[in-house]
Amino acid sequence: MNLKKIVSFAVILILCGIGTNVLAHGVDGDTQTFLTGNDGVAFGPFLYIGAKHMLTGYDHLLFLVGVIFFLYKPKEVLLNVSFFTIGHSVTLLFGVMSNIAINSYLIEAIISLSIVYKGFDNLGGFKRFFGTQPNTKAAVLIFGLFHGFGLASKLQEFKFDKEGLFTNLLGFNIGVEIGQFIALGLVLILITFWRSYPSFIKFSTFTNTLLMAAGFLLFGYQLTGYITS
Amino acid sequence: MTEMKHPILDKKKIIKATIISIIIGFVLLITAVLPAEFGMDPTGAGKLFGFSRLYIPEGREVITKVSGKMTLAGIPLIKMEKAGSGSEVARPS
Repeated sequence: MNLKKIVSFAVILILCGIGTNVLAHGVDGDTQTFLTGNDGVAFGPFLYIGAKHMLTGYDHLLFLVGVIFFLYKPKEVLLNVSFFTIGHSVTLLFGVMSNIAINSYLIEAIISLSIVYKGFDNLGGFKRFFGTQPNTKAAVLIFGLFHGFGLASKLQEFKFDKEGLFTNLLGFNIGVEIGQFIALGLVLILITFWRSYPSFIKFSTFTNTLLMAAGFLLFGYQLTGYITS
Repeated sequence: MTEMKHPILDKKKIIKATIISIIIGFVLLITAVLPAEFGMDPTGAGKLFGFSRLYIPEGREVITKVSGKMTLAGIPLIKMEKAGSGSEVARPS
């Protein structure tokens, strides 16, 4: 398969993704409609909602892309993703079950800073400026905790019946992992392909700069949302 | 070696990259995101590119094309595709 075909395929996939995101506002309305009319256990629907949240959750996806950007060993990818999963699962479950008030703007602002952090780290920023490389896996775990609160806050925005909450929440969590698995698979395929070309390293600075830009943009957006709310 | 071999840039380049990313983020924020999401348009770019048209105020007055003003307070936005009965409802023949 040559480069042109793969790139066009990837572009089409991304455009489909953007298209669904544009519709996402309306679809969230459908989700609320379902949840309003739902009583009790609905494992399957929550599984789907969780997967959709992850697949349309560009803040989580951007962080993951940053994390695996330079990881090439499957073991390393698995380890880092697992730490992220543990982190976000813990706070997702805790956040929703304990019903603590999470300001979604603030938590999303922190999540967007995690994206900036990873882009900066990929540029070698910490090694250069601080002489030390912060433990990547620990950072992924800790940022995972914040991502989990973000997921919890998104779920809290929906009004739904609390009966069967834990089962539904488990479904949501597993859905998130399924969505993450799918997204990660796609990203890994694309990035492994790109890595076979010298342009990957040549453009790595540019790409991570864009990653930081996206993080700053999201940060500004969430901060404005917080200030104006 | 847990990572691919990749360049660790020198300080100036990293600072440059960070500043560029802040600028890109900030520019996109005030030209596109603020007009579209919050109705703030400090540079007028929102009006120029039409991003401002995406802004839906909540509970405030909106001037419609038809005539007069219409308050959106408490009225949920109904899209044409969502209005009306579902497909299972029999239609008059």
